[in-house]
Amino acid sequence: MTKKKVYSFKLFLMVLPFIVLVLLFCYYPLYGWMYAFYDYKPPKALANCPFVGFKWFTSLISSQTKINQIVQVLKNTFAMSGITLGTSWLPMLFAVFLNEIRGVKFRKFVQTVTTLPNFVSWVMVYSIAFALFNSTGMMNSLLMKFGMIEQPILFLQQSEHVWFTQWLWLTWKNLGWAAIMYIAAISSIDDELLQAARVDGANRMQIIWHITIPSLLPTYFVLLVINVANFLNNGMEQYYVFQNAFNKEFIQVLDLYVYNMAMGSGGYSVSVAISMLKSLVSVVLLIIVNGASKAIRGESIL
Amino acid sequence: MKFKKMASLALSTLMAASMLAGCGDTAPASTGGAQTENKTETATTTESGGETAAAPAEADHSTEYTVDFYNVAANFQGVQSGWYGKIVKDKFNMDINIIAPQVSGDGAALYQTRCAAGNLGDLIILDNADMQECIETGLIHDLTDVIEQYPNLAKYMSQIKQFNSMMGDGTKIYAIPLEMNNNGPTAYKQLHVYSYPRMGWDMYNEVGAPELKNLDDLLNCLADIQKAHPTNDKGDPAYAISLWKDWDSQFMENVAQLTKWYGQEVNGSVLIGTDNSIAPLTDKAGAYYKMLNFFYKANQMGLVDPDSATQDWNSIVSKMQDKRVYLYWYSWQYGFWNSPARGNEGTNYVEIPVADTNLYQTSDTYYGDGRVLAIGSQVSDENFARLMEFLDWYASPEGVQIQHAGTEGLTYTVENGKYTLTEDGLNRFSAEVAVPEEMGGGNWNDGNNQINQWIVASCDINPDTGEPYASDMWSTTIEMNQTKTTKEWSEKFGAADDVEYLNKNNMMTVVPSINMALAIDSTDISLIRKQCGDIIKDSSWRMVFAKDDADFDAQWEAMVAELEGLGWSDLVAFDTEKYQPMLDARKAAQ
Amino acid sequence: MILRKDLESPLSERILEKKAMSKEKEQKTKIKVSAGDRTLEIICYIIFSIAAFLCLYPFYYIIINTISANDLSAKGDILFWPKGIHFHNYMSAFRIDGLFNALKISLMRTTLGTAFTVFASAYLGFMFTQEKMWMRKFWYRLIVATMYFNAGIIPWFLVMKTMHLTNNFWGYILPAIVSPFNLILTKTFVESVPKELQEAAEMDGAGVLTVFFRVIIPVIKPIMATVAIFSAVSQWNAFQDTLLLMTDTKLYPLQFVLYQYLNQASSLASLAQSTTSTSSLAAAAATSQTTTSVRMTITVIVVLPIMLVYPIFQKYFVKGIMIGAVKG
Repeated sequence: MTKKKVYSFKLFLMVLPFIVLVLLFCYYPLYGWMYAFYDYKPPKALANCPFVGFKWFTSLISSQTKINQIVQVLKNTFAMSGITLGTSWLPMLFAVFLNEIRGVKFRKFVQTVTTLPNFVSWVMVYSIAFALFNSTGMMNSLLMKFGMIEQPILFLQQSEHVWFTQWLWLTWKNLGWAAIMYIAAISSIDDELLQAARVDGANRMQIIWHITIPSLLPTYFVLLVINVANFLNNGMEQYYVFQNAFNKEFIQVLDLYVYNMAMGSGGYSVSVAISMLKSLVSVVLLIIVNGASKAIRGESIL
Repeated sequence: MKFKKMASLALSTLMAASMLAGCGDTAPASTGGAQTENKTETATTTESGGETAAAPAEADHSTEYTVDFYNVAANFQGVQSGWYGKIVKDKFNMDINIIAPQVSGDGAALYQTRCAAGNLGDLIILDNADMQECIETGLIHDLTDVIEQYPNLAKYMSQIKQFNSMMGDGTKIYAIPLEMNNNGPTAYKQLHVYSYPRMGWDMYNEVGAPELKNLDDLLNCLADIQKAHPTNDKGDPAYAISLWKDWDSQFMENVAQLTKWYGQEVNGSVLIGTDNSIAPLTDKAGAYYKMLNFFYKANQMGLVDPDSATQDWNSIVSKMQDKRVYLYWYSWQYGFWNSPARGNEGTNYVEIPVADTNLYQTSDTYYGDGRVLAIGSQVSDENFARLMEFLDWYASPEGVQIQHAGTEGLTYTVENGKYTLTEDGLNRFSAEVAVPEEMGGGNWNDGNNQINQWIVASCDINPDTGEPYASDMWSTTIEMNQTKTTKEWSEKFGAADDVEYLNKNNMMTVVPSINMALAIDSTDISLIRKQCGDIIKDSSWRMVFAKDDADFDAQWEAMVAELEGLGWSDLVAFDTEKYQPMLDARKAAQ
Repeated sequence: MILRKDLESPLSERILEKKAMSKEKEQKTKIKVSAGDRTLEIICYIIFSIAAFLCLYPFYYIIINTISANDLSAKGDILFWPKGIHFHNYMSAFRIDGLFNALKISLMRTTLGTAFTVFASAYLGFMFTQEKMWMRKFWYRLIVATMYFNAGIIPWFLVMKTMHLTNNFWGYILPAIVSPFNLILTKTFVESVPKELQEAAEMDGAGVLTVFFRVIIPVIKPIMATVAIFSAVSQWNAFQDTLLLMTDTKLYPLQFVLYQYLNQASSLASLAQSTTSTSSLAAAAATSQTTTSVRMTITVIVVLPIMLVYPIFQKYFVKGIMIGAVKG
């Protein structure tokens, strides 16, 4: 063995313990995917449950009604993920412009309070939303006081603009939190670079455009890749608390659909099947995006 | 060489990690000695086969025992504390550690993982059908040989045998039904029926105490009330009807409660009638359509709270407390407004008879309430004896009375064999009743039994008093609750209470309550059920708020068509077959 | 181009130097602020004030509701200032059995879990930039891919049980050590550190671990602080693992105990649904504390500690820690 190879292997051994942890906690349990091919019902052991092959994978599209449902659900998923991806630069801008605030106290204050919504559970968010937007809530009282409306508007019951309003809630909850990563990245920008730019007479917009943003782009692209691969994973909690009979058609994303369908003891095998499919889609997306980045930017991201 | 060194370094890191893991292992005492393999034949007592069921020898209490109690009924996870915990500890030297799937966001996951590990708990409360499967998979301890030695459990032997005849091969005893009584299979001893139209007595009289022949009369009466009181006294908008969405399961719960007024109960996808008939939920002549239409008409008349589709139960509670809701249906909704003081003002809510109703009311749960209690198959023999002893006490008059009314001296007093609630006893649920330190301390409500299910129902008769265990059914409590409202009501309707009135006028049918393990959904059926349920719920809500009759009917048709596409007929066929044994048993009991 | 001088002087000295420099700079730049820059700043102030208000108000709303009369609060009457002030909600929360022990467990899992994750993320993030490593990309991607895998709850539980991590404090820590998301963040950050730093140190004879501890750690503190925040918050907030893994009440963390407390408050609903008895006394239980008031109280109890600790991490985000190495 050459010295170089030994060194290369030594480096590997130095991370081996962690790889073992990952194999143990993340890869070994994957044998559980075989539950997807059985009709598993607790308390029976898996061995005593009937083998059903790909039944759960195909059951999603086994009738026209179900296909219609899935199509609508995917539409919602694509719309909401699409809007989120399309605006994924917002946290970066937030961090960049927050950085332009000179008053340290104010900056820290904003930075702290904008993370607050992240800690409020969705159930709680809905309670607040209901308090503000119900038929006698603050919003309607105000609008009626100023004579802008005659009848209270049932905001939470509207089926229009569901994708947009849900995005607003999500952004409100996550923006400040997501900006933390960029705030950290900004703090690592080389001071001398900034100093040099200032000496050259660059104004602040120019510095932002030519120095700050480019140095944040690596982080941005990595997060973008992660998010693209997460396309199908919107989570369900938010949509679960906001769903009602009137907005259901537009609010039901894939995760919520699966939850509504498989919740309870009946659906273990089905939910494993769907999570397998989702893993597959995510990894494929990951490979595609990574490949695309390699082709376009000349370097892979992951 | 260097390579080897690194390898050993890596290995030792791992070993250290796993050792840390091993050292930190703090398995509770309960699982320590209980690792014996499944034992279906127990050898607690040797001469148990004899005719005379001799009382079992007292179990050894010398060691502390933490009982893992897997309990689908509990709303609390952790060790039972407070006054009830102290009683159990003093008597049995046991700590009850409740494991509650309901407390989790994901109870199914807890069930799945614990089943997979082969140990649900030392004591187990499950729904009938789940219990049946757990018995088949060997997770449950056999009680056949010992149960008759326990006198208090033996009192309910006929119900226990009845239930277990459906378990396994039918010859063994595994599980004990809950909420049983010995009043007879068709007895109905409650003070009020469960679901019925209820209004404020003052308001009903204010609009002329009209005689209500049918639902249209009811709506008109409500409309008059709302017209007279568009807001409550504080000026907040009030509505005759306010609905909430968060209790919906596979249908709109508010509608399902009202179908009972017209002789049908929603069970899954079917309506079961007082005449033992079964019809699909989507039957246009059925009560679900009828009551949905009732809400729709109410909304057309402006009687439905516009926030109904988006609010949850909590919002309703505060509205009821502020008198912003004029129609109640659940009997326990009284708790949000009625009081003796208000009764004397005449503003309590009471049942208002609607002449064409045929109330579907199940009898008291003679055979049990659908959940059962059992012992885990992996408990050791000593612990098994201790658990049986505890269960026998749990079914004894002492245990049951503590369960349903607390402890003598604190929550009630005894005089000439008559029990009377104390002030603290009356307020034990609503106020902070402090428990003396020697009885366990803390707040009464916090220390109350967290198992949340009992072997003997509160309507059963306490042999010591000849009255039910339930404190609100004691003659002393009923006396206390006589008010101007109840007196005027009795005068007008010529009956002591609603149960008597409805019975007398043939406006109610008591169907025997049956306790059996019905067929469990296959995965296919359960998927259909979920998807259909979503369609029914959403459509129902939209129909309540439909624009006009045409819209209402169009949505109904659309719902039915969509349900068909999801396999509705399979579901209905499944449920029809599923409930047939229950109906057969009902016919036999009637 | 690299300033060797910086590497030779002790780190603390360098930081002090930097701080002095940046202060100087700030004073200098303050003098020459163009009109355009001023407008920009004003706009920023306005926008961020609005954002801060939108985020702060709901939390303020929660706080005033927890100390207002519960019936007014449930009605939605409390919007701007508290009415009927009382502290009953907090007093009953603080009376929960085992609260103190739960707090201890929460603090332990948060500090230990965070320490492990931060170290592992920094260490792996650095190691995976070492291009010489055998099959580096493969191992890295192996870890990253787990972000998208979900094996299901049953096999996961059985693995934890086999490893004796049920009813064991380490069950909270070990599975969380390697976190792909944090690893990605850190690695990206390390990549932005000029390679010359490491090369220079290696020329001076430093081994890879020395480089990591003495050269890399000092410059990646901002991202370590970020990872620490993420990891601490997720440990602090976690309670679902407790439900499946732990039956020993001594291992319950704060969040779990509070969640359970919330469930007790909402138990009335399920009680009312399941019961056939007509005991209206039980219904009265809901009047003293509503689920909403309990939920709000819990939110405050859980968030306040985070808000107190957060500013400590923020100081790592202050500019000027990065050594004055210049890249392209």
